Amino acid sequence: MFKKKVFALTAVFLLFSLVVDAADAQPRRRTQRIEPLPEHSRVLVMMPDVQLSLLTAAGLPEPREDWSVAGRDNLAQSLAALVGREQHVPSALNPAEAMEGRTGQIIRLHDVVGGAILANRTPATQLPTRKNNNVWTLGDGVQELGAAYEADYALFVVARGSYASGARAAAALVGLVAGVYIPMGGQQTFASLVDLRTGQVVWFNFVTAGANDMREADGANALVLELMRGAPL
Amino acid sequence: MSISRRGLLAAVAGGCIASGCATIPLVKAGPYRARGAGFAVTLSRPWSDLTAMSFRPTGVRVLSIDGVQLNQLVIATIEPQGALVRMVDRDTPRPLYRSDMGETELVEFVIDSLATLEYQDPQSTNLRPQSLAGAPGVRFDINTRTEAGLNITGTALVARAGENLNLLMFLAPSEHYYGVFAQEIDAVFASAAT
Amino acid sequence: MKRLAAAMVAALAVTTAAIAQESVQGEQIPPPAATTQDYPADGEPAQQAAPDAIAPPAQPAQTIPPPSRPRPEINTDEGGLWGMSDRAEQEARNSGQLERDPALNAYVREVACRVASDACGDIRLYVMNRPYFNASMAPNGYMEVWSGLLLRVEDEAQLAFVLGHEIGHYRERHALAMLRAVRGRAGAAMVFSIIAAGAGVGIVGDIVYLGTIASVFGFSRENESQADMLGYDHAVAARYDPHAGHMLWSSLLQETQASDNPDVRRQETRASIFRTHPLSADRIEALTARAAQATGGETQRARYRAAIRPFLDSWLRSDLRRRDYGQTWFLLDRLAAAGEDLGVVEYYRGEINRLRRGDGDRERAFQHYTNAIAYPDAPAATWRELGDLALRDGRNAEAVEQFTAYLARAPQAVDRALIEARIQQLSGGGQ
Repeated sequence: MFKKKVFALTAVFLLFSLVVDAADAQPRRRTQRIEPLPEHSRVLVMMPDVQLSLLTAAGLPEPREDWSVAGRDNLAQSLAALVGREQHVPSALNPAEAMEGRTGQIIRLHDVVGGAILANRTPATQLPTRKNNNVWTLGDGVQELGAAYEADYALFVVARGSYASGARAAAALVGLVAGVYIPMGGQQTFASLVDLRTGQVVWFNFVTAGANDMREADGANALVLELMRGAPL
Repeated sequence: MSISRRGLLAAVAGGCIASGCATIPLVKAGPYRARGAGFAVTLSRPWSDLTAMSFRPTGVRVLSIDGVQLNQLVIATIEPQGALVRMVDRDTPRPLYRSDMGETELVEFVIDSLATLEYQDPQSTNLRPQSLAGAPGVRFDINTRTEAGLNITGTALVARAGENLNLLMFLAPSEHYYGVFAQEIDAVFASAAT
Repeated sequence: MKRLAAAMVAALAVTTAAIAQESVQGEQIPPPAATTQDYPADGEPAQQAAPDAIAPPAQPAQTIPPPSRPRPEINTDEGGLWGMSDRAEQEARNSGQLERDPALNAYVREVACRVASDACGDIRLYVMNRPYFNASMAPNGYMEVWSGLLLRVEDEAQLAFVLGHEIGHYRERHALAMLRAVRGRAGAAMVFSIIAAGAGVGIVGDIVYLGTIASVFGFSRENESQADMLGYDHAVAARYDPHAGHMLWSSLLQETQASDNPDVRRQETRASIFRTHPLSADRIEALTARAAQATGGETQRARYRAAIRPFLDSWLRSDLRRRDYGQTWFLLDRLAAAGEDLGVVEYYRGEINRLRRGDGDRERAFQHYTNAIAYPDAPAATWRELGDLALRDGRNAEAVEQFTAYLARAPQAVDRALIEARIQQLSGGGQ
C-alpha cells in the first residue's frame, strides 16, 4: 500500500513536471524572422479552447466552468480586437463545429502539429531531426478551410491550467519548508497562426500566464499581448 | 489513445527518468541496420530514433522526422512468439508472430497489432507480393484513424527470414504528410538488404 | 487541441473521473418512487442551455421531449462538471470510434428512452466502437454505449437494464456526489489511487482518457446498488423481463472466469476488463431476489438480435483482436445459444482455433469452418481459410477450389492479387 502511494506520488509529480518542463522551454523561444501579414488580411480566429480549474488543497484540480467560459470569451474578444487593431479583418469559428470532412481533418492535424511543436520545445522530447528547423506545415489542404470560411489566415489558441485555492497556497508554503515541491497551479497558453494558402504555421508561441489573469478582461488583454508578441500581424 | 500521446508523455515520464533525460538519438542518412534487425535499409535523410520512448518490444525500432504522430517508420525483426506491441504486463494477451503464419496471417498480425495500439478500425488494402531483402514477402497499404478521428494512411512490407519476421511499416496522417513521404518510403522499402 | 490538452492538463483531466460509469456491488434497495423528487428543479427554465450546448448527430428529432433538468449555474461545482462533460462529449462526437449507423443509433436510443421515461429528453446517445463492456452517462446527459456492451447483452431487456442503471446514476446525480466526496481529505488518497491504477495500466497518457478514468474511479458501493435498483425498476416499469439484470451481471462474471488472462480470472469479482469496482455476489443476489417477486415482462430477444445482426462480424473481429480466446469463445457460446447466426459464430470459432495454435486446434478449425459454410451467413473469408488449411495439408486441388470459391464470394477482396497468384501457382506449376 505504501509502495503504491509512493509510486502514485511520483506519478503526480511527473504529470506536473511535464507542464513545468514545457514552461522551462519557453525562454528558448527563437525569434522568427517573418514577413508581416499583408494589410487587410482576413484572419479566422478559432474560438480559444480554454479549460480552467481550481487546484484544491488536496491537489485535485476541480473544473470551474465559469472561469473557463470567462477565459474563453475574454481571450476571444482580446484576440479579435488585436487582429482588428492591426488593420486585419477578424472572423470567428468554433472548431468543434467544423470537424466534419476535410476541414475537420485539417483541424485535427493542427492538433497533432501543435503537439509536435510543443514537444519539440521540451528538451527531453526534442527531435534531432527538428533541431534547427522551425518550419511546420499542415499542407495545402488548408485551402479548403480558407475557402469555406473566407479567410487568409487562421489563428488557433489553446489555454489550459489551474488556479490554486487559498488552502493550496498555504500547503505549498508548508511544503516549501519541508522541502516538498507542491505545484501552485499555472496556466499555459499556446497560439499558432496558419497561412491558409500554403498550410505553413507562419508563427507560434507558448507562454505561461504569469500575473495575467484571463478570467478578467484586463488580464486577458495583457495575456493576449504577451502571447501574440512577435506575431506578424 | 494514439501511441503518439503515449509517446509524448512516456517521453517525459518514462524516458526522462530512465535515461536521465538523455537526448533522442539521430540516425544518419545512408545505410542503417537497426540493433537486432535482420536486414539493413538505406535512408535518404537523417531520422530521429524514438524507440526508447515508444514502449515497444525489443527488436522493434521507431524512427520519425517530425514526431511519431506525423510520420513514423517502424523497422523490426520479430522472433517467433514475439510481438509488435508491448503490453502492460506479461499476461495481457496480444497478437503474436508465429513462424508458420501464412501471408494473410502476417498481414492480420500487423493490422491487429495496430488495433492494439488504439488505431481505429485498421484495414489492410491492396495486398501484393513484394520481396524484402531478397525474401518473398507481402506488401500492403493501411487505412485507419486515430482515436481523435485523424485519418491515417500507411504502408507495410513483411517477409519471413528463416524463423523470424522482417517488417517495415510507415504511418502518417492521410492529410499532407503521407503523400509527402510516399516515394521516399518506397525507396527505403526497396533498399532493404541483408 | 486534444494533443496539447493532453500535454498541458493530464492532471486536470483526472476530475472527469466523476463521469458516470457502470460498475458494481451492492445491497440497499431505495424506494424507487422517491428517485426523481430528490432534486427539485431550481428555478431556471430547462431550455436555457449554454450557448455552446452540443447538438448530437443522428437523433430522431420528432420524439425528443425537452430535458427534465435545467443546466446548472456555471459558477457551481455542478456547472464545472457539466463543462467537463460538454468537452468529453465534444470529443466523443468527433472521435474516430463513433459508430454512425443511423439504424443502430436510433434503436439503442429508443430503448434508452423507453427506460428513461421522463428523462428521455436529457439523453444524447453515442455508440462507440470499443470491444469492451461499458456504458456511461455524464451529468450533462451525454451517454456512451460501447460496441463491446452491445455484443455481450443478450436481449433488449438486458440492454434496458444496463441503460436504466446508467440513467439511475444520472438521476441521482452520483457524479456530483462523487466530486464532492473527492474534494475532502479522502479525495487526495483517491486521486493517488487513480493515478497509481492508471500508471498500473502502464501508460501514463491513458490517465487522461475519459473512459479509463471513469472506470478506475467508479462510484461508491451504495451508488452502484442504488443504480442497479433504479435500472431494475425502470426496465420493469417499461415491461421488460425482470430477470435481465441479474442474468447480465452473472454472465459477465462468468466471462471473466473464462478469460485466458490469469490476472483477469484472479480478479474474479470484476465485471470486465477495466472494472475496478467488484461486482459482488450480493448485488446479483439483490437483483435475483427482487426479480423472484415479479412476474411478466418481455426479453425482446429476437428484436434485439435483429438490430445487432449486421454488426456481429465486425464486432467479433474487434473482440478477437484482444486475443483473449477464452472470453471470445464464451461470448460465441452465448451468441449461439438460440441457434442463430451460426455461420458467423462457427467461422469465429474456427478463427480462434486458427490463431491459438494449440494441440488439435488445426483440426478443430477445419471442423468449425466446415460447419460454417453450411450456413448462409458464413463470411467469405471462411472459404479462404479452408483453402489455406487444404494447402497446408497438401490437398492442392481442394485449395484451388476453396480459393476460387472465396474470390467468387468476395470479388473485391483486398487480398485478391495474392490469392490469384496462389491459385495460378497451384494450378500451373504446382500440380
